[in-house]
Amino acid sequence: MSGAKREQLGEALRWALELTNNPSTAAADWLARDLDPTKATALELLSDGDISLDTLKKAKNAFKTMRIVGEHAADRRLGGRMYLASIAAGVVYHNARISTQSDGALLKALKEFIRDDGMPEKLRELADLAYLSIQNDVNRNHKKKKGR
Amino acid sequence: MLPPDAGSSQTNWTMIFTVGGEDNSASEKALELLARRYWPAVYAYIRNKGRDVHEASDLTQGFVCDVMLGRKLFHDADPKRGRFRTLLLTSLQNYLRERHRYVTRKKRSPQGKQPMSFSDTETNLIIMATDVSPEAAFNSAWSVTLVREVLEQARRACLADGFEAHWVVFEQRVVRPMLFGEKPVSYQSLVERLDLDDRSQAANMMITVKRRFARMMLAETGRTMSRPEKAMSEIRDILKDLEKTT
Repeated sequence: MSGAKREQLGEALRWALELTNNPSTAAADWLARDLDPTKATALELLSDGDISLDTLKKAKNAFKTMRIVGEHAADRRLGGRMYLASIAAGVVYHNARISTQSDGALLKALKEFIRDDGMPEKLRELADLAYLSIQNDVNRNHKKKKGR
Repeated sequence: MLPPDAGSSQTNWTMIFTVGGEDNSASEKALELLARRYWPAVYAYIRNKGRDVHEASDLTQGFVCDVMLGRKLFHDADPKRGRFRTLLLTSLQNYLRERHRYVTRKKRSPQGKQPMSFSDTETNLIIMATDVSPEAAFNSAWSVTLVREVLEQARRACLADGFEAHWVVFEQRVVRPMLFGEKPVSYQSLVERLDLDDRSQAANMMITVKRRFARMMLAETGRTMSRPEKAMSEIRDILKDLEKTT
């Protein structure tokens, strides 16, 4: 049996450990790994500044679906958080909005995310940066309108 | 009497006790299930001891007949010893030592029992490595058996629950690449074939089955232990053993 084959078998066994050790994050991590096999977790995927916009869009959609069809309430909640983190990553890393949500709705959701101490620090910082960026855009647009 | 596919829902230790029980038909059924489940690991160990295909097939048959079907292994089995994997490996090592000294072909077949047939095709399916120790080969084959057993359980559960499309996504994206080295089928083609909304739906279907598989893996591993709650540590040990190649 080749080393690669042993590694693949090991991967299947590790799923059982991952599910037991981190039941709430396992599903999000597996979705992230499915998008980019070089990333072990959703945190690793979304905190990589070099992630492409295309991958971020796929991540956003995958987590959006998880938010709806996740097996447990905790999964659906985490799916919602990762969905928002994907949108925040689009703003911060690419200065791009990959969501059709209004500024107000996004700012409100990001504010909640920043306050959620159950979320990893890196993602809360990402949400914070996205919040500031969107808020700046809102202020700039507001000034422009006033100046007319 | 055991139901036709009782092997997947019984603990190995329960099956071993069934072997020692008074109900002959249940006992024989349990023996056959155990023998069929674990002969690949036995064969892999013997092959990696340097035996050729024919010798390894012969010795595997001998071990199954003398030790497994001959009931010595199961009559002496003590769940306090913990792992069925360890019991099987130690028994095999002892058997090979004994064989080296004594065995005759006549002695190998207990009266009234026909040796089980493991075809050349089946033995050829076990991918042999030249760079690993016999113990590593045993553990690899053990893991393959365990993973295949759980995959079959997961497949049956998905079909029974109406999750056929979920299973197809998991099989095409995960199982076949894992077992046969095939390229995962693209999400786009799965979405079209299964009439799904989009890639995200397919990815989440795959995760649903993966989670089921992981739960079943934990349960199945627990069945090889005298204390099922030790399943996590057994999986960790199997992983460590898989990493050892010499």
